[in-house]
Amino acid sequence: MNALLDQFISETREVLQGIGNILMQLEQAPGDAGLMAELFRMVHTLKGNSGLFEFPEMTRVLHASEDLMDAVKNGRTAYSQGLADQLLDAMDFVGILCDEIESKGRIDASHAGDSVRLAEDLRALNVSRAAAAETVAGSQTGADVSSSATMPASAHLPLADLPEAVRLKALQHVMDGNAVHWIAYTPVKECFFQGDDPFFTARQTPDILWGRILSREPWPPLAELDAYRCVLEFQMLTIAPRKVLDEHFRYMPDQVSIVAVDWAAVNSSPAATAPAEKNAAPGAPRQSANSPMSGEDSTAIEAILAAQRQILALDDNPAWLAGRLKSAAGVLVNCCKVSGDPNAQGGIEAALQQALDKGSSAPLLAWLAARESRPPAAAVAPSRDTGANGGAPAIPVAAAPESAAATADEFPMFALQADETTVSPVSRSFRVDQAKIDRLMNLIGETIVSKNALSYLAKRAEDHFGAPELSREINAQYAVINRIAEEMQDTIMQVRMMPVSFVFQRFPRLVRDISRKLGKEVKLLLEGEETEADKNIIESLNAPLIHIIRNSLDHGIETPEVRRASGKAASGTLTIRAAQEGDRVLIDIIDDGKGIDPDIIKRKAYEKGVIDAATLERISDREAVNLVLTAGISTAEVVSDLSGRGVGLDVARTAVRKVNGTIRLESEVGKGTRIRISLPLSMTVTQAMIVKSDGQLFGVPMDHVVEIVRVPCSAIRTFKHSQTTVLRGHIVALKTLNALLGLRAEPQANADDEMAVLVTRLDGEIMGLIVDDFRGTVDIIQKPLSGVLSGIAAYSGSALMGDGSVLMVLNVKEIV
Amino acid sequence: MKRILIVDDAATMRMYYRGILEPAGYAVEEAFNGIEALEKSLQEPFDLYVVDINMPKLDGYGFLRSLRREAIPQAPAIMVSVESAAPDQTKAYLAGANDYLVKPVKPAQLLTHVRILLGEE
Repeated sequence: MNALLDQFISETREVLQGIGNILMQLEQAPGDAGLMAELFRMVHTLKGNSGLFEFPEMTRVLHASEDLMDAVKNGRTAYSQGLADQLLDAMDFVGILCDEIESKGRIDASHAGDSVRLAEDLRALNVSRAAAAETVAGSQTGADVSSSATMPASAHLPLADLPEAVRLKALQHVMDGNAVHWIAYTPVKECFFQGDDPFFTARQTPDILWGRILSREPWPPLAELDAYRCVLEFQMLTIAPRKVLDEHFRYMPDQVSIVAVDWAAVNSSPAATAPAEKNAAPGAPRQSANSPMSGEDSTAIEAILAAQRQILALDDNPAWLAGRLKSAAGVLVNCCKVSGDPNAQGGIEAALQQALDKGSSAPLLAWLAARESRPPAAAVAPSRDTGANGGAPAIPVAAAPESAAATADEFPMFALQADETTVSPVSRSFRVDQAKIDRLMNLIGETIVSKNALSYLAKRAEDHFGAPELSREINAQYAVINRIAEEMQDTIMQVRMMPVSFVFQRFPRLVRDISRKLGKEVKLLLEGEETEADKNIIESLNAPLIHIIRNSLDHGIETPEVRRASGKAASGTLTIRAAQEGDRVLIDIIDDGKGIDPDIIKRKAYEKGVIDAATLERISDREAVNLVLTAGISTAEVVSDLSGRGVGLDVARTAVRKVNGTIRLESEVGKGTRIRISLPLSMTVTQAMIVKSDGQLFGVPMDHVVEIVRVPCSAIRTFKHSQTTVLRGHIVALKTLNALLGLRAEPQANADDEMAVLVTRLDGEIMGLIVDDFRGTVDIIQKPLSGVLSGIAAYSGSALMGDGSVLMVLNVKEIV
Repeated sequence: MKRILIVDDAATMRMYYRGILEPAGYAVEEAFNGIEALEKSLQEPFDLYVVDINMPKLDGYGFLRSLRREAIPQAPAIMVSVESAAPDQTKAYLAGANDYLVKPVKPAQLLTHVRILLGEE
């Protein structure tokens, strides 16, 4: 995937987002001309960009969108909600195509049908345009209707519409002495009922060079279209002899007009520029006094000279005339230089000076006229026998297809990785590949960990090697490196910080679509969008939030009728708020819907076996409501397509936990529900205590550790299946780590017959974890487990040690 | 080295043109609307301009008209458009363009026109 394609995808996504936003705004302010203009410009940009690539499915839809927006901008079509919806559908489709290009590198042919349908739907809204399609040599759509039922004279044939390659080929045949025929085939309206297949007939035309299909009348809206009524015209260029063609069309001679193209007649059209007049018959090569130039150059120079003539002939008298004259004169000088006539410069500059003095382009025009009546010193001869002289210069505009067809345009590869874009004249930003940032993160992480080795080294220098001064020096250096590494880490963390608006920005559209589908009225309030958190964490928020929003809209917020009946405003409010608190980010999703009934939840949880009878009695309303986050529990009586299967919130909880976050629910029946997600601000260095158990080392995050104690075995009471001990007057429950992890070994007491106990505090409860031994604390950068290991709840992640080994970090909450 | 300014609000197009012109040995700079283009041109005038039409704040026509009023060397300007019709061409010339190309511009064509407008053999 090359850099240009990357940029294209990236920009397309950005613009699609912008289009979505504008359509939202237009809903509130439908008459705003500024918004309309911006919308047009965005669609126009998308279409322009897509033209650089071969993505016909995308370009087709964008072209139709652009034509539609053009019609709206010029008042030919009225803007309506239906139009906006249609446009949104089309843009969604473009987004899907982008995803596919990104993952597969191309667009699957299966999208062709949707592409055509969407384009037709858009064009149906655009009643002032008639559609046409091209076939065979196959390019884009969009030509206006050209009706040609009568036999056109050669000079009036739309030969300009031929792609350059085709025209050159045709000329080649003409010069070889063959005739080239233009066929216009207009089948009668009832031809389908007569058993004709005009498309087949057209395609089967012998020796066909090119063809296209047009419609003879404007296309009616799709609903009124009679597909069995043929309104098509087939136009073809072929080199087959007349007799063969007559034979091919023998059953329908009155529907077909066959004309032998007279290229000479075409050439003498008045649109030809002065230099072209010097070319008598096509294909008669002319010798130039100087070195021969390539065909493309000559064509280009002709076109550019013609342009300057046109410019100088403009009869407005603008304030910028001087600038215009100067630039035109400069171009004339350069054209002459390229065509091997550098001496012309003097004459041009003199003419320019006169023109500037007079304030008129006349002197320069005169110079041009004088030059043209000279013998063709600078006239160019194509060194290749293309005969391009004849056809090409007839069009002063250098249209895109005109360029030299010989070279296959290989797109040049370039090394540009980061594009410097200016967001506004003041701020400057870089686009950087995320993989690079991740690598930087890893390297910094390793630096942090390996710097720790230095303090061990200092200790060894003192203890083992008896070199205290060395030890001091090492420690001093360690302090310096430590400071730098930590600052580096902070900086990189800042780079990865991203505002939550990144995730929030899709919500207005989501809420609008879902609430519409459900027939509910919902107002969405977003607060604190500028709150920042680490990119990974922000991205992990996306799925959970969508689930929660779906849930709130489906089960929380009631229909307008129900709401009014309970004295609430017909339209419900969904508030999504983000705020930073210390080193956490808090996300609140609050709805003013009907709330969650704890009794229903208790009942359902009991029915499903999630809680037992004892818990059913004990459990508080608060805790019961949080059971909704468990799999399989839902208050919904009816499972809907959207939610209610009791799966969504559970997924949300898992995703939140994965990034060391927490999620809690509060609800009041009749008033509403609040869901609070708490996430760490960034993935920072944590302190972990290393413990040994059954010969293995594990890490326990220090934020859960209260203290470590050695408890005499005698002080451990065993009661039924659980063990306890007394610590400073409190009874503390004890659990063996080995047992919790499923390891069979028994914990080892030390030489003094004491057990090593790690005292932890979880959700306010104190608990002791029996391990074999403690190994001190260490700074680690904890990374979540990935791949096959990610499902293991016992571990919250792993960390790389200074010696290269991997430390498994326990998720104390889970295993207890 | 000749300096070319690309004026287009689409980053993809700017990257596309740069990818064609830079390997051919031109020094390429970019502006994303007419205002920025004008600022850059006044700072250090260019040898050639490639100008798109549809841009926010100041469009291609506006930029060219302003450019042609300035007392700086008046370099050739290519206007790039989606339309091939004659009236659109004329509009471009009226604003101050010297050449007119239709999107999507093929690399070979752009290089040829740039080369000729700069007088390079």
